[in-house]
Order: sequence, then structure tokens, then C-alpha cells
Amino acid sequence: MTKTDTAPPLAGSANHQPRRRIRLPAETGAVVALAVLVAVLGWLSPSFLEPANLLSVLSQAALPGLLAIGMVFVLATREIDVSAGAVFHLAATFTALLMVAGMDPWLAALAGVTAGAGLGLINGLLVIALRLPALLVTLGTWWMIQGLSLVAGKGQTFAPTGAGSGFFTTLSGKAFTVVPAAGIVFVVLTMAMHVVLHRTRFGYRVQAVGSNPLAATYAGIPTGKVKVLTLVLMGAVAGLAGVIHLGSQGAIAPGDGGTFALLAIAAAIIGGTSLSGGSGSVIGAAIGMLVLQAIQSAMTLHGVDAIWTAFTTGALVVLALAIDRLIRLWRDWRAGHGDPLG
Amino acid sequence: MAEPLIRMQNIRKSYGRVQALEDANFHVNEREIVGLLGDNGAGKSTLIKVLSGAVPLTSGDIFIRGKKVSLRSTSDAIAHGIETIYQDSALVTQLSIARNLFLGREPIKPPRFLNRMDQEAMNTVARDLLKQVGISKNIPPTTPIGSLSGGERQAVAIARAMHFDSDLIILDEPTNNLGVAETQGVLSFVRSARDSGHSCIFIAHNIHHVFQVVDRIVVMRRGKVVADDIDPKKTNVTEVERIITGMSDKEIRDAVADGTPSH
Repeated sequence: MTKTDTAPPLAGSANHQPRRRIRLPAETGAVVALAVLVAVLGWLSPSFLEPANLLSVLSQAALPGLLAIGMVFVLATREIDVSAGAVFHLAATFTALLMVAGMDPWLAALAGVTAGAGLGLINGLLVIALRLPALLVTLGTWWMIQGLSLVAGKGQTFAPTGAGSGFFTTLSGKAFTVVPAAGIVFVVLTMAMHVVLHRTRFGYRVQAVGSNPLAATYAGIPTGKVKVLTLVLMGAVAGLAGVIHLGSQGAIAPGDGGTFALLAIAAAIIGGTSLSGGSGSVIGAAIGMLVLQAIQSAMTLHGVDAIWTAFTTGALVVLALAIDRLIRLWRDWRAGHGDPLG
Repeated sequence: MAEPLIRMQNIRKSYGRVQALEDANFHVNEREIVGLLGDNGAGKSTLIKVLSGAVPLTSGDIFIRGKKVSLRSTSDAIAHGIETIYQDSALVTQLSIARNLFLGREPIKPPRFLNRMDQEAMNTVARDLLKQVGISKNIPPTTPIGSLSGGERQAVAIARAMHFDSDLIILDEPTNNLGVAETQGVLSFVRSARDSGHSCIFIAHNIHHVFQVVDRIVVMRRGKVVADDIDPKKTNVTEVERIITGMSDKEIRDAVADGTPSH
């Protein structure tokens, strides 16, 4: 029962209606960027718009895109996980090893995802125990996990037996003969995690912890637990991506997933997730990854040397960071000095 | 004599060699507003952090209505009916008014395992609370709380504590950086919290604000409670300043004449 029934009106309360501002969704920038990009690339090279090429872009975006989804949650709590690519690789290698040992491929895949979540849990517990930013902790565990992967896979491409089993045929298959399985998982998970971030208590607490950790703590939210859970989620989706990679390619090579963590961070930033925490967009991150892969695809179509791909990705990240910073400065300026547009 | 709502007994808190609290004794009665005063480093913030579960005590006992309790976290304190409102850390400005009201206590729709928040229930309660705190200007509860003024945000934070039936509301510098009218609004809202059955601890640097609203003043100095039964109706600001600083009246007059701040 509430005791607030007799509370009097608040004296000194400003008697103004807050001005209604048109608030564009966080992913607006990424959607516009993707639309313009597809239009320009299609104009420059009509073959870019062929369905087979567009589905190829979706396919290439799917696995690093899964990591980007997890990264949104981590970034929203003001943390960052640079070990996700290594977790991807170790989960795939671990799954392959279990298959070689005779385990059922589906069970091995489940174990691979669980191993990814377990590595995320270790990251999270280290962050809490050492009271260090996840950036520093995962920088260390990145090297450790990568080392373990190389030891387990003996530094060579590892192809488990059992090709032709349901696991491999399902994950290397295509729905309606055109849509890759990884793409379907990517799209479904994007929608599901969007709901988790914006409609569930967990997602709400992730945003609260990232926005104002002290307020969240004083409100009784276990901020440490929330951060650990986001890192577990990150590890689980990285593990899932590793398992899908193994299923669709039939093998895991030493360099696979090496750039995925940075790509995931880049996609999340391009998609409107702020590095300063508090908010994030899962759909934006997915679109951000499509932007990155579309650019890479267009560069390949135009015969641009592959080494320029890394440069372009880096330049896009810098651009996205600059835009994020400008938006923040603009908001701070408005909060401190009023609306410059009157 | 009835047990007080809160009784803190022989509280000690040390940070390494630094003794922040030294056998501090403190109590709050039912339906009472206590002003907690002290110079910087006197120990009032540490005392409040111990009571709100933010820091563990080194030794001592805390009783709620005579029953010994252990406050190991902020959620422990909240579960025992103790809500702390820090001016800059009470609310998450990016989140909506409704979501802020339910920060840490979000209602869940069935089935519970899906963990979905009941946004409609939150909005309904938020609309009622906005009216109850005097912000009845048709602000949608989905508006970010950053749209409200400082005083309104304080009122919403206090209303949140009242809605969840907190027995004790700790207000840390609730009038800091507020204008005159907004300060009066918050002070009147604190009084209404007391009148509707809640107890409050009021911490403010501005002693005049404390005098306007509290029933009893407690003064801390060097980690100890040096006065715990000052009636604001029977004393004056200068006398309380003397107790806070430990200076005599003449020393205070000399310090003021010299331009040296006395607190």
C-alpha cells in the first residue's frame, strides 16, 4: 500500500510543458548509410545489386554480426570485449575436437556454445574480482584464448570428421535454396536480442548500469552481476558464431575470426551504440555490419586490393566515433546552454 | 520507551589506518526528520553509506525497530525499507520517468521466465505519482527524466521511495544547486513524506535549509556523534555551527570577522 495519497503539489515546479522533440531511432543513421551505400554501389556496379551478391553480403555479415549483437550489450554497460574473436575461434576448435572424439555433432555444438559462455563468465568474474575495465581484462584473455586455440588446433586447419551429418548439412544449407542458414540465425537473433534489450528487465538494467552506474547501485541493481551477464552473453554468441562457422565451412583455420571483435565493435558504433554506455541498438549493429560487408563486397567487385579493406573499415570506425562524439558534444551544449536553434 | 526506527550502535569504520567512524551512535525515530550535520570529513557520508549498505561497517550493530540487521549491500538496505537519494546519483537521466520510478524494482509480466517488463503498469503508477508530487502538466511518463527540473527530479526520487513504502528516506544534499522556489518545493515535499508516515535523514551544507525542515539535529565531528538531540526550535544557526566546528562563540566571531570560513 502506498502512503503518497496526501502528498501536496510541489512548489517551485516549473510550470512548462517539456517541448516535444522528434526523437529519431538510434539506428536511423545506419539505415540511411546502408540505403545510400547500396544505391551508390549499385549505380557504380549494377552486379552489386544482384540477389546472389546481396545474399552473399548477408552471409558474410552473419557471423561477425552475431558478435556485434553481443557487443551492443557489453558496450551499453560502458565496457568492451576484445577477446570475442578468440572466443569464436576456441569455441569452434573445441567443438571440432569433441566431434573428433566421437561426440554427437549437435551435442558438441551445444558444448561449444557453452564453452563460449564459460569464457565470457571468466572474463566477467575477472572484471569484478580485479576491478579492472573489461578492455584490459579481455586484452589479456584474448591472447590466452588465442594461444589455447592454436595449441588445441596445432596451428593448422582443423576439419572434424562427420561431414555429411545433419549438423553440417543443416548449417551449410540454404533456406528456399538461396538464404544461407547463418543469415537466418543472424536475422532471428537480431530481432530476439532487440526485444531483450528494450523490453526485458535484463535489457533495462543493462542500460541503467551503463547510463548511471551509481544510480543503478543505489537503486539496488546488482551492477557487477549485470556486467558479468553481458560478458557471458557476448561469449555465448561468439561461441554460437564459431559453431555455425564450423558447421557451414566444415573446418576451422588458424586465422578465422581474427578480426571479428574489432568488426563487431565497429558495427555497433556505426549502428548508433555509444561507447560511453547507457544505450545501444541491436538492429543498428546488425545494419552496421551489413554496411561494413557491403563496402568490402563492393571493393572486391571493383578489384580493389584486399589490404585496403582493413584501412576502409578503420576509417569508418574513426568516422563513426567522430560522429558519436559530435552528437554528444551537441547534446551537452544543448543541456548547458539551451537549444541553439531556439 | 518505544524502540527507534533505526538505531546504530558503536559503529566503527576504518579505511586502512584512517578511522572514518569511531564508536558512532545514531538513531532515527518513527515519523521523524533528522538533520545530520558535520564539517567535511566529519563522517556523516560514511555513516550514511554504512546505513544504506554501500560500504560494510568494521564493527558495531544496526537495529531496525529493535531487531538487529545486517546491511551488506544496497539491495539489503532497500529490502529493509531504507532508501538513499543522492542528488546526482538518484536517477538515470537517459531513462524515462516511469522506468526511473521502478529502477531496481521493475514489474514483470507473466510468464516471469520471459523477464518482460510490465510497461503499462509502470506508466499508470508513474502518471499517478507525477500528479501526487505536483507535476501535473500532462508529461507523458515515457519522457526522459532529464526533461524535468532539478527540484522535480528530487521530488520524483522522494516519491519513488514513498511509493515503495520505504520506512527511512536518506536525502543527501537534496537542495544543492536548486533555486529558492525549487528548494521550498523539495522541503515541503520532505515534510509531506514525514506527515505520511516516513522518517527522513536530511543532509545539507546549507544549515538554514536544515533548520526549516528537521525535527532534530545530529552533529558529527571526527567520526563521532557529538550532539544528537538538538531541537532546531530552541537553538540557532550560530550555536549549531559552534558544535560543528568545536569552536567557542568568540572563536567563531573572530573567524567570521577574519573572513575565515567557520564551516
